[in-house]
Amino acid sequence: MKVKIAFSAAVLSWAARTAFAEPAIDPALPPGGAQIEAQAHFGVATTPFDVTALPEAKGQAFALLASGRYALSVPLSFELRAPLVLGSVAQPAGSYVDAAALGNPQMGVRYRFIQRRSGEATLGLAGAFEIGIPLASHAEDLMPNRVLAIADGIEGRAHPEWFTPGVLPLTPSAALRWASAPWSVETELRLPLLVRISEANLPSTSTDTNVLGFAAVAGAEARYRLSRRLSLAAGAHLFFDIAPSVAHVRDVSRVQDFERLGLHIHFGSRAALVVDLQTAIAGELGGSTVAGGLRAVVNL
Amino acid sequence: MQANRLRVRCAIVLVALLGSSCGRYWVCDEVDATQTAQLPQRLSETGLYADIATGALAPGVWAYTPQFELWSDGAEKQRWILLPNDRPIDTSNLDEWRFPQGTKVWKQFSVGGVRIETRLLEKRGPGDADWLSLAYVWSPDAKDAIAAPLGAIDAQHTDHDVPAAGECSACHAGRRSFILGFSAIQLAASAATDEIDLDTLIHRGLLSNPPESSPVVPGNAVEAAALGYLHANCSHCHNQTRPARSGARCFDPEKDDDFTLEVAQLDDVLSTPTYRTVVGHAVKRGNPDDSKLYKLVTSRGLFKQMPPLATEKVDSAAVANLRLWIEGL
Repeated sequence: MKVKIAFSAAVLSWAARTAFAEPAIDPALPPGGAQIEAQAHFGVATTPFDVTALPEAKGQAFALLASGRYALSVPLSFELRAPLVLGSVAQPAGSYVDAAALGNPQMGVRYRFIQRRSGEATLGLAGAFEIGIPLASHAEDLMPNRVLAIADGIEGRAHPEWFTPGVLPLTPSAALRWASAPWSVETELRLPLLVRISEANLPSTSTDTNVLGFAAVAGAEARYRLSRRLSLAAGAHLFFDIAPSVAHVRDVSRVQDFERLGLHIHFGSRAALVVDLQTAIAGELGGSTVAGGLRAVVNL
Repeated sequence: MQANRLRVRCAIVLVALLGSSCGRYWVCDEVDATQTAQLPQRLSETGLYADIATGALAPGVWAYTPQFELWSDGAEKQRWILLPNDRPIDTSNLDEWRFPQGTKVWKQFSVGGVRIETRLLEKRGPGDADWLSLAYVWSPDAKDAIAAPLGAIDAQHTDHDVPAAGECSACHAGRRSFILGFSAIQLAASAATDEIDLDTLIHRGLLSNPPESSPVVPGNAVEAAALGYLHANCSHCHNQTRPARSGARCFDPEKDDDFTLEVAQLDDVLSTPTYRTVVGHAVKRGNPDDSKLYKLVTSRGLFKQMPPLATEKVDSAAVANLRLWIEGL
């Protein structure tokens, strides 16, 4: 198995090297510029699931995300994201069933309010607003609901707007970025609001859905450029479950930490590949959730 | 350009292979919901009870107890069978009984005296695989049990998990008979007066080809208990006569271990499949701590426990006996 993993990692890296021309990630796109991103996280998670008979969702999954961004002007860009999950969901007695589910695609705008340069340092402040298209999969057997919950765990519960079926997500956010080579630090606050539009097949006899769900996610990441090709990144976020979109069926921690380490491989100024590893220390995910994966970003 | 495309395709295929490698034996097919929907939604409608309030059984329903039980984390279990119109079981193969269409088998699980669930297996067609399965979770007032096709985790605030309908096949589909605890060997011991056993089945003409005598598991008490435990807890997967599967490899061991007790192979312990295929391999003579089998039955946790399903606690009494057995080999 180890040999298979090493071999396929080598092939992936080789394929990535040759598939992408040389470039890097500049968060500020020129007008008319576009950026595409593909992310795949694989992990195992045990997460709260708010059905009385099935109070947790456990399993392993690939959480896949395809994103695109187009700069309409210097400060304003348009963004699209489409999450997809492929996984295996643990059944109560211990066997697994494979499942696939669409998340809620998101579209939104990002506006750069401030971009200041002082000597070698730059400071940027951006605000964004995303609206989700409520397409997240759900079914009577709750298999897609559960595999989405597992993916939510793999991402540290940071994106309920991607993985909650039966809701219309509205997500305002703000990000502050400071960079002074070789360091850069980015902080972000996101406030996903989930407006219930259907019961998403959750059994009414054992589950209470709420009209509104609301959470806050505060994150920070620091990067250090090791060389022309490599950067190291360390980040964390805290998820605050302010008003759950589904009433919890058992005591669930309202706060979730999630920590992340990443290695950024830069290919010139227009592309990068990020290898990362992420896990939780405490909260509902602590001790049961770990994930890792790849993110490829290309500026077109 | 052509070469680049090929490399990307290679990478995608490799990732796909890693993700769905054939070694994922723990991934089972999901049961078709339209099949479980054919079964009653309440236990009281399944034909087990004449009066569920008093617990009076319906006419034709027999209680039985296998002499070697599947470990269920210490849950207390009761079992019943209904043979439709007392039609006989095809016992031309004494180790793989074929039950008549319409047979129903129930197993009730209680924890601390509280009824948690009752499972139903019902044969709906003539084929060996034509069984439907469903668990019913008892209501807190114990008046009836409701169908739970998705199963339940920590049912009724206990640590007992109720299997999803699709999980029943993970064990039961490993034997052609589908029913695991109702066989010549399992019913050979004399039953209580209100239960059915092998002699009663023969006496009532319910076996098409009755055995000439009741099978007796060979060996001393420790050996017989060890062979019986392995038969009841391991042989539904680890046997050499599993029905072929067309779907994913679901709890279908690729190795040659065989823990079955077979009626024709009970002359002495050495003739049993366990001694022929396991002793000297997964069981190291005289050395339980170096025996893979012993390590697995004394462990619990993802991918390192046996049995792999439906248990989170070690069966300490069985483990003590297995230890004695291995030390004495």
